[in-house]
Amino acid sequence: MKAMTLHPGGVPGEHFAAQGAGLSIAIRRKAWGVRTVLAGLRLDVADGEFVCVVGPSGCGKSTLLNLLGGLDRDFDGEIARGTGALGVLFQNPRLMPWLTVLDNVRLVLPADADGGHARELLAAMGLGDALAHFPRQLSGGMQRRVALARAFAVRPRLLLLDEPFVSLDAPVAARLRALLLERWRDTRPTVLFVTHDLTEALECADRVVFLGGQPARIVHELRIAEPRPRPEAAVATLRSRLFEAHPELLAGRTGAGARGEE
Amino acid sequence: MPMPERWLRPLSLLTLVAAWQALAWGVASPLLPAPGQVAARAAELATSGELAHHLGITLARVAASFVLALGVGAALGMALGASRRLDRFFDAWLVLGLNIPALVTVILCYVWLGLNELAAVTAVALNKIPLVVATVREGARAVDRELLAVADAFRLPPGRRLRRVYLPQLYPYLFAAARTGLSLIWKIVLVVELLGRSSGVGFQLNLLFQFFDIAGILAWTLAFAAVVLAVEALALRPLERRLLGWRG
Repeated sequence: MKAMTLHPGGVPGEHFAAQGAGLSIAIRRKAWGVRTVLAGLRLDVADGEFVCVVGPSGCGKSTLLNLLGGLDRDFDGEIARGTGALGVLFQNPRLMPWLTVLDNVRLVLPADADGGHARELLAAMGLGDALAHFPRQLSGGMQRRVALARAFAVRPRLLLLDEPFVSLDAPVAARLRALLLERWRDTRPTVLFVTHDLTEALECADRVVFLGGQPARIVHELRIAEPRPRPEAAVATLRSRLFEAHPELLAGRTGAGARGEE
Repeated sequence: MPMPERWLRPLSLLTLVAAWQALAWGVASPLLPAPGQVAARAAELATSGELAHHLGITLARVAASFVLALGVGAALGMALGASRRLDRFFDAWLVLGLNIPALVTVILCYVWLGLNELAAVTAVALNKIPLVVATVREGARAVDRELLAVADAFRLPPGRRLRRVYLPQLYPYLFAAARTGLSLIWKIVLVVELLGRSSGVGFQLNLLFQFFDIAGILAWTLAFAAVVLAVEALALRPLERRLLGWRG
């Protein structure tokens, strides 16, 4: 049986109660053909919480985001999220090449919205001089900043990020992460940030959720109370402490009894 | 000193007219009138109002068949490009449609629908539709699904998704279809008029053919060609620049 709820307002599903405007995920099974990709995956995210989902490549992280974004409705389970807009940042910037920078951001806004908010956001991203440019005239980093502005332009209550800073130079990625955190602090949307870069996750998240196994499920959870921005040394300490306790974590396997909160 | 490039086109036209003039002098036959005679004849047709009347009728037929062919062809092309099953099913029809001689379509339309405007416009459109379908289908197959996913993720209304995300990907193909469409349609329209209408440039050419009036035939042809070139330069090209300017 296939069942799914995507009710604004967070109507509770069978096995959990959605709290306020957060996000409640209970995926019994998601398969591609005969291959089960996700099974028994349950995750509750509080309103305004920044959650990073870490796991090896191909473990089903992007599949999960597609389910959350409503792009794929073919699964068995329930997803409930609060009211409010959804912002998405994909692996590639995915800008419309035929629209200017400003129009790319305005594209996702209601028809009656004036461009003021879009302009402000783009200016805050350092793109104030590039409003009339087409994407092909921008560098990769700038294109991602436009995509970031687009994701925040809808004033999202839920923000989904699918490895948005992959394949960028480290300094460019770091600057983009800083911009993301800055924007996030302003409006505090609930964030689900999928990445295979543990350092990135430790730098940003309130909570890191580790996916692993086949089919993928949550193998470990780590709450991080430390305030942001976190200095490199602090992130390194978190990282080494984590690996001491769970040496095989990033391969998606954990020793017995390492299943976080369960 | 090399000549500026912008002079090449006028120079080439001038050379053509000069060669024609020279040939006409050499042959000295009523079957090859000189450029001056043809121009005089065209001026005569223009002042009598005959030119505007028949040209107008022909252009109206061109416009009607063009819109019909592009509309129907684009819709079918998008449908076939989007669905593998539809594409598989209709592919053979399309190949057949692409290969039916224009003359056959024209004759059949007149036989089945009668010697009227509807038959004329339908015949022209039917000749063009398969080409539009094939071109637009190519575009619809190449549509970037990642960009459509952006529209879906941000919950764009269907109208905006179509206008700002889907159609812009098809514009280059629609323009290619419009370009080749216009050049094909204005040729077939004349055949259609010649075979079954009592007005329009094709009908006039038929009359002049009966009298071996070559100056008249050339005068009509030049006038018509000039109009088609003007449509291309004044309508299609500026529109293309506006819609595809982002490609730089």
